Amino acid sequence: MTVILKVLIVDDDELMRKVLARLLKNYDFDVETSASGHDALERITRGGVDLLLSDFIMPGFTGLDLIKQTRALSPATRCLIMSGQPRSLEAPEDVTWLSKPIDLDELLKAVT
Amino acid sequence: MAPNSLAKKTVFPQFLQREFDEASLDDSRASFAALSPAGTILWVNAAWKRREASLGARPVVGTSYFDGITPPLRESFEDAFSEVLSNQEVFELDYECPTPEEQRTFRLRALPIGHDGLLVEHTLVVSAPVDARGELGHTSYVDADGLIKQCSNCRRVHHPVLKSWHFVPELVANTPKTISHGLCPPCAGYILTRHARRRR
Repeated sequence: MTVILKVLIVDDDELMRKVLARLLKNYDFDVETSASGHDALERITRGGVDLLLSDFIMPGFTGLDLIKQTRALSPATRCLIMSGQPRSLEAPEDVTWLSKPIDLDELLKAVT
Repeated sequence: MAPNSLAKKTVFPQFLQREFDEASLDDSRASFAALSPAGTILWVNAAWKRREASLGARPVVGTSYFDGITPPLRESFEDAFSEVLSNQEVFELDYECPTPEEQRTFRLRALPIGHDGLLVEHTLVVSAPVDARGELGHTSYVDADGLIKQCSNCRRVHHPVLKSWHFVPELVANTPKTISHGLCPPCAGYILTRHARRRR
């Protein structure tokens, strides 16, 4: 039986959200999107998110802030950061740091 | 009399001779280049040569058109031009090339000439003076949230007032920590098109 993973994409850039969502839906992921860390936390509180794929630099709320709060709310959710910035020294070791621009092979390897 | 830089004659490709008149292309203010299917520049018109001379650049005939494009944009153009030939469809892209004095937008068009090669045209479509406030200064790229939005694919940055995307070399060379990476519309379309073909 195939398990369909629920992925929550968090990015302040609308086109980035659309592109990532389309790419992952093509590979049978169940995808939702949020435009901010605050919206994402509301969604995570409702449960059922297997994987959080978040931008790093966003207005008011960095991806690392979001991951910290996600882990408190939903410890089973796997967390990944996708950023054009180099890996932050503050990023926990078990957080996968993906580079923008999007490399589809790298993304699929990280989320599966 | 033509300057020396214009005197060197290159051969007008045979595949263009069927439908195009070399003198007409030379009279145009737009820059034209004829490319082989692999992207080698076979011929350029007078406007292209004038631009080369004004920039003090080396003649491009015999080189690859893609040599002047930095990665990852280069791969995008190679794919797009390959599709022009395979699909026999025109590729169009507007791009900004500002100077300190002018906001300029150019249109690139790549036309298939059968399967023998391409005709590439660069035309200035918008030219407006930059106003006294210095709209192209770095601070003007900072949005209401205090961030600078940069396309993660082509590295152009978004101007929140002009609502257009500009190449700003300084912001590519030294990426501030306040840069948020997104996608500009052409790159978003390109990425979706490129990946739509390789579903598992």
